Amino acid sequence: MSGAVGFLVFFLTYAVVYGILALGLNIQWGFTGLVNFGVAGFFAVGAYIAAFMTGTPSPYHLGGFGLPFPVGLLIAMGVSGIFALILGFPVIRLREDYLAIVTIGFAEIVRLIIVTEKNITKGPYGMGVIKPYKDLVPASYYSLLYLGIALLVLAILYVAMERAVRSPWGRALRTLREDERVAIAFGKNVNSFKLQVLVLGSMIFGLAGAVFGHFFNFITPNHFLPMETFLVWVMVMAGGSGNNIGVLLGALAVRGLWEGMMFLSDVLPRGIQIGAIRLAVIGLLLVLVVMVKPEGILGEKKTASDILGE
Amino acid sequence: MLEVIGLQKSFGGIRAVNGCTFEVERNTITGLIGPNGAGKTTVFNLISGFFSPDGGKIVLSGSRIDQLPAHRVPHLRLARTFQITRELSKMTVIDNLMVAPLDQMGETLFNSWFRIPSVKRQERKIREKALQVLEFLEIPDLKDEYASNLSGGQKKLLEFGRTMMTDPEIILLDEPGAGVNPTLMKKLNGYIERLRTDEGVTFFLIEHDMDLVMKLCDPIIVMNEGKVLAQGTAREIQENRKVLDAYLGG
Amino acid sequence: MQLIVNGILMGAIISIGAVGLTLVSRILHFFYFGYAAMLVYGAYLTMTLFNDVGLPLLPSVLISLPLLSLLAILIDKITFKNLRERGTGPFGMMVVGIGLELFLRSSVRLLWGSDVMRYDLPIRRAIVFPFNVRITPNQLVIISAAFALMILLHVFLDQTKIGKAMRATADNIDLARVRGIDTERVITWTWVIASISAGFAGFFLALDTRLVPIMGWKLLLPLFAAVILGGVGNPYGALAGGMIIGISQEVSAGFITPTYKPAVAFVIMTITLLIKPSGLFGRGGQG
Ligand SMILES: Nc1ncnc2c1ncn2[C@@H]1O[C@H](COP(=O)(O)OP(=O)(O)O)[C@@H](O)[C@H]1O
Ligand SMILES: [Mg+2]
Repeated sequence: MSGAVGFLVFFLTYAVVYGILALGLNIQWGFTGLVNFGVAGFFAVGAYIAAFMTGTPSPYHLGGFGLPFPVGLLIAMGVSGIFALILGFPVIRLREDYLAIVTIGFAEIVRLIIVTEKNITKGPYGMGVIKPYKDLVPASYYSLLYLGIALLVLAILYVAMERAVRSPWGRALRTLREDERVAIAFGKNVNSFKLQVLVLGSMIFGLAGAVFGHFFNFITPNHFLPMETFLVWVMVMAGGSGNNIGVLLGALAVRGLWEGMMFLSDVLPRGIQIGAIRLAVIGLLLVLVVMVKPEGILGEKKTASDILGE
Repeated sequence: MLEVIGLQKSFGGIRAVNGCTFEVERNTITGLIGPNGAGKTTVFNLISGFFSPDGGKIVLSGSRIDQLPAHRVPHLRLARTFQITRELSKMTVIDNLMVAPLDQMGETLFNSWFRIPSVKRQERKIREKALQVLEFLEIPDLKDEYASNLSGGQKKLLEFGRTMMTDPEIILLDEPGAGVNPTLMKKLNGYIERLRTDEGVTFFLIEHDMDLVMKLCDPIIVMNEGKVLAQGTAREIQENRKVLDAYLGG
Repeated sequence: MQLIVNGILMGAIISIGAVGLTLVSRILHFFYFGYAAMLVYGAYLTMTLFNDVGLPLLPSVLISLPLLSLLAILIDKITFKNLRERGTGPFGMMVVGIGLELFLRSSVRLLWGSDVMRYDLPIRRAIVFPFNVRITPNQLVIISAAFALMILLHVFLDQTKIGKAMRATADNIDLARVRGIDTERVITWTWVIASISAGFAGFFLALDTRLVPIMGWKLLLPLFAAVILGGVGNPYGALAGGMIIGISQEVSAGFITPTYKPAVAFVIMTITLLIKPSGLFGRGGQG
């Protein structure tokens, strides 16, 4: 494949990974109003777990158990879900701003563990992740194949999420987002719903981590900085919380902006760091979204549950 | 039907409810009146489980409910409204109603993925019922309006309709008439009367409009400073000196 | 012993920073992540004045503070004041605060570069105290200056009119408004105090270690832990909370891998939130 096409495939695969993350955050924040600033933590858990599960045995890190790629994805999701359950069980009833701080702290600690426990994760050196189904196509077409796989995962997830939120279950989530006391007055177990959503969303972050790892084939703690969390927040808030298509478009646009800024390095004077510019732009976007367009580009659909298709 | 015995609740130093004892008989429209700050709303919040009492007992249809988590109370067929309306503003009127029924099977993730036909069947019934409620309240045209676009009175109606969605045996109404114009108020009275006679629903309501309370409610409970001051028919209350003192003095 | 002394040092730095953060959290009604950038700006401005302009160290710090206050008040006027008038909730404010943190931190990288830097001071040897406790002269300066600052802050909050108004506002915003306190003026002063607090904390931290753009973010978790432990809005609680967090973090290094120090702050904070969200010394409970 030529350079331009290769870059496009790379870019799209990256966007798909973030699309998965955005769908996960949308179920938490967009539909339920549940604050999770620990996205990067679950993302990391998923990536490392999938790497352990599918990798070849190594004395330098945990695993590899040589399991098939889909099994790795499922286990990555499961373990992320368990992390979410352990974290969420005590803290789910906290007020949203406390929850924000606790989840951000959680993600930082996950990263600390990855950096510190070198025997398990190879620490800051990072570890390799296999390319699944590598022998199916010639090497030069592999990235295209993997884009297809990632898109398939995204599509399945999208359908499942739409089904979930356009049901009475999703309507209950919207209710507790709008007014917890109303939800309680009509018999909804608010903490249970929130915990379900924390776990489900975090499983999706874990899935994204696994898809990311097999795409990048190399993961280090630096792939899971707090900034990743806020990148996803920008995608969801700008794209339109509560609208799955909106947040996918948000993911595509923000990723596009991110990669696009690389071309700035040709224009900008030498010595200006593109990383700093990117971070500044993401920060500015967060400020602007809240100040200018808090409901995002695409609003939420009017009808909560459309299971009857009317 | 509903028994409250020696109920106590303080906030910091304020004894909002201070040894309240009364009973709401089945199939009555029982009124709860008293000056501002008497503790009426707090009593409602205690009954519906939003606050847990510092002391005393609450018995609903024979079972104690004062230690139940708030989301369990509606399952004992008690529904409530709020003094300041709490409409789900970014949801449509019909969604505001359809979310109310208890034990919807579609409210579990598993069912909404894998048991779509049965969920649909139940959802169809719930929708039917919501439409009936809107018909009953004479606002069928508002079905697809966002709740935030309703007028104050319409929001009160919506809250009332929401309680009807759960097939309750007892409905607690916190100032249903506040901010509602007289015409609509008259209608609301009619709905309350009809639900009581046709469906056997018990009502327990807080109201400030004395004319209304005297006409609609029997018996009437008067609260002052966290205690029950008097209890009786409209006439008895009107003639009660202590009640007059409380209203004039407070 | 050494660990306890290290803990007191770290505690002094966290305490000084936490006072400003607790007042901002309470009076502005949200948790301000951009506070981390204020620390960093304080440290870097001081560095420019000291290393590049060539002022003595103390004037460098003292001149950096009004600059920092000006920056903070300007940012407030552009962003938070608008949001206050529109009635944006604490969460929206918090997101804006995070955006500002990312933006300001990158601006430090663009203005000063990402390399590790330090103040141009002669490196002096640690003084050895009984029990083989080693303290560098810089650390002695930090600890004594921090305690002097605490006393000054106490005098300000306890004796001056605006200090009292700030504490009243932190206690109960609605009541303060009813009593005719000009809350916008109190907010301006809150940014001044926050700048002093953040500026010194940033300077101390940089003096003890070195300057990197990420240093503020790394201190943020211990700072929030101190604020929550002390009760949000309680400046004395923040001082005590800061000491407890600092000492626990350093002493824990005797038992567990030192990289896990931030985890100690996290655990203490989470337990506080679960058991007593109003903090050890009450008054808090609302951000
Ligand atoms: N959540 C609460 N926190 C603190 N005080 C409260 C709370 N709810 C009610 N109160 C206080 O309890 C007293 C009774 O209030 P309320 O029950 O609302 O009175 P009423 O509905 O009869 O006007 C008042 O003094 C009120 O300020
Ligand atoms: Mg009331």
